[in-house]
Amino acid sequence: MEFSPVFKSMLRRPTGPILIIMQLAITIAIVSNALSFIQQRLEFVNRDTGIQTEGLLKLWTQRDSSKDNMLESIRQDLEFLRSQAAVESAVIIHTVPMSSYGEIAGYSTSPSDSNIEVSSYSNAASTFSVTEGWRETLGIELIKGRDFNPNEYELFESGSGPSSSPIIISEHIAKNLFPNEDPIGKFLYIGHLMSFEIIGVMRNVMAHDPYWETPYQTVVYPKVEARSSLHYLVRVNDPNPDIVLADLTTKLRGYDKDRIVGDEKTMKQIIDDTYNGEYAMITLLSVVLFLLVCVNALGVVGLTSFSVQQRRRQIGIRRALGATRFAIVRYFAIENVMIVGMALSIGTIAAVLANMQLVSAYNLDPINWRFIPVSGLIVLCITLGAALVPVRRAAQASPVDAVTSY
Amino acid sequence: MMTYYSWLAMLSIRKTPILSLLMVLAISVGIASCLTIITIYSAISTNPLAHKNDEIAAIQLNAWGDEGGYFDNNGVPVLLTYKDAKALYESGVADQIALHFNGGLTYSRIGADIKSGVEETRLVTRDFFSIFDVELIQGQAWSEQDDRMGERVVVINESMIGRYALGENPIGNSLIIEGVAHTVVGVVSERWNLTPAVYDPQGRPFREPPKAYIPFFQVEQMRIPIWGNVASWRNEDVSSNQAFLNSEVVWIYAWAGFHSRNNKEDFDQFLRSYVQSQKAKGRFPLYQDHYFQSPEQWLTIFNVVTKDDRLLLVMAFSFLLVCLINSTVLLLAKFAKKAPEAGVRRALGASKFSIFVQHLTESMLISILGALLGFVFSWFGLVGVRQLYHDYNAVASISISTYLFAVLLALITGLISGLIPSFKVSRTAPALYLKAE
Repeated sequence: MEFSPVFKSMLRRPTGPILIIMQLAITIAIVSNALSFIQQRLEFVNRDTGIQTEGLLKLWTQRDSSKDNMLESIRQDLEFLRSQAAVESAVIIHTVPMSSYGEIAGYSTSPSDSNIEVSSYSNAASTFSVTEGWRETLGIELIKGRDFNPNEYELFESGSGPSSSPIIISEHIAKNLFPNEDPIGKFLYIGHLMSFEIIGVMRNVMAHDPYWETPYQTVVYPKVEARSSLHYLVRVNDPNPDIVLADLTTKLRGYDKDRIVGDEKTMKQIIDDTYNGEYAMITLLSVVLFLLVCVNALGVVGLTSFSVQQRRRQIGIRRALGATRFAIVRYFAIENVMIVGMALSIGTIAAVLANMQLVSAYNLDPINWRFIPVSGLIVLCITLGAALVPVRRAAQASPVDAVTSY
Repeated sequence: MMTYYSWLAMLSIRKTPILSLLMVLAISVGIASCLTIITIYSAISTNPLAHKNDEIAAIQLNAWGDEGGYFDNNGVPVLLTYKDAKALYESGVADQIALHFNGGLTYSRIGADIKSGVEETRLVTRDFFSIFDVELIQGQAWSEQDDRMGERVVVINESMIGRYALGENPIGNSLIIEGVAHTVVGVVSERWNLTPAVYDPQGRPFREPPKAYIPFFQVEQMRIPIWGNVASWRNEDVSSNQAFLNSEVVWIYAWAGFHSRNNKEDFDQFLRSYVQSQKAKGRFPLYQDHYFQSPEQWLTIFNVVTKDDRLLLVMAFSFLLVCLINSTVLLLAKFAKKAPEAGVRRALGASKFSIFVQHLTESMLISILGALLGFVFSWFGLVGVRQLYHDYNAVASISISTYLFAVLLALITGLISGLIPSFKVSRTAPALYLKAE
């Protein structure tokens, strides 16, 4: 392995190698940071939602609140939806997971004495008010305790809500508020006006705001207020949920001309819309990486072709003296590896420094170290690959041509 | 001399077409990504009301009773309670005062088979139009009397004319809103679109402008479905409209406009004494401060420019840096090949400096070609980004200043990347290359 002659020859004309090393070092710094960010974003959007997204649809209705048959009308819509052939189950809901439509309430483990409630955000939970059939519709798993009994569900007029109710809490809340005890049978309170008996614990479900610091603080509550603006969640068993959605919306609209039906979306669309920024970021970072790889590859091809041409005589003489084609290729490969090796050391420092800057200035997450050697490897493969073509061509050249002509 | 050098540069570029193409491509991609990101970044980070930074301000009152503080933004509620908003309006101390919030109301037209729909409506007091420079193309905002009485009038967005068949001159026509007839008194231009929406940057800072505006004080007559943030630290019964209006729930944006410094100070004074009087009644239990936020500060509080945007900016410029070094390397390679020619020129009497300038010209010509190609690529880049971000309904097309910036960037890139290679080639010793080889 001729490391020494390669190194010495680079020292003689250092400008080129130095520039290439700088270029590759910066590339490694960018690639490792970008890969790390992409991984973080992917992890973020792939967090478990706790619900079955496939086949879940959302419809929304708005009624005139001055009419007095609102309760009846709401019930009729629900019955209508349930009667449709494509629909497996349907519920009314006030908070839709991942959609930014929703309510947060502060729950505490003891009733407060005054009307001022201690509702610091860490005790707050996204509250799903639902009607019967919520578990099948949303696909939520109960891990402890029981579901609500049919007589515990209630659809009530505004202002006449019950002051106590059973409640089901998420795993996350159970762990935080009741770390060493069984939460079943314990109580939660809102101020001193409302009390809730915990009858079950569900597997973590995501709140309506996935960007919340504690998105798994969710509770389910079987009392639904009849409001002018309501969401229906519907589970369908059809390979084309979008078509079913359009169909259901039209039918629901036609069934009762007296209210607006709109904003219909599949759960998948809701999640995609919420995470739009993340997906966009992942795409943009990937595009930058791809372009970076291309630019570097092209640069290496250009440079190597030229560099190889400059050394035609040297290559020719070596071949004439008995060096194999492979030996020629090996020479340049070693040169390449040394350059990438030096670029990697400088690039690692650059990547770390850049990351520290980004973390402090923009409050981003720190880099995952794994990506630095990974980037180095990627850069090595690209440069070796890119250099291979011109180098092989030079090695093929007949020694006689190389030495005699110019 | 420059024309001669440019001509030489063109010849030289054509002699090594592939290498030159690689260089131009590399630079074009670098400049295109910078252009795309910069255009987007400037669109989202520009404060469209910067010229009014001293004249208007959003008001924050800290009525929050939870010791942990308000859970979002800058720890102070960005919205007011109805009691406080009304008190500010009725005091008449500020030269202009706009109370507003976003609602979803049902619209229909009598007769005709126009389908009714739910439209995003902003309930505003009349100073909203002047504070936010809303562009009316027909009619005008309603009167002060109508404002306070919550009269049944509406200012619509131009796009509503077609949707609800309001005819050539919609002023005076009637629109049914939430079952009640409203008279159209003004039309807002379709083109008016504050980007970002300084008046309501919560959640969707690049939202479409409101479809219609009705007097804020209609809230006293009916319960309006609020399409925005509603927050409270206290558990109160808000089932009736009256109870809701009397509660500590915050849901209203309040902005003040001042025609003079004195007015601003007067209003500041007024707020101070107002908060004191409220404290005496047992409200504002924990805090007694209030804030004036300029449009600039408001946008910062709502984090309109996210860390993602800044990250992309950093990435774009780092990428350009890589392209720049890449260009230098390739130029080095190319010029080394031209050393014999440079040697001959030197022998014939050319100074080192003229060789230097000659090759620098070539470098800059390549950069300019790269920039031109970069413009084309960046157009595609912007189209692509608009597809990615559903929310950017008004993301800019490239402005003149961005084009100029790109040209400047190209020249600087050409200059910097060409310096070292041109310097090296200008120092070739003629003797070496005059030999037969």
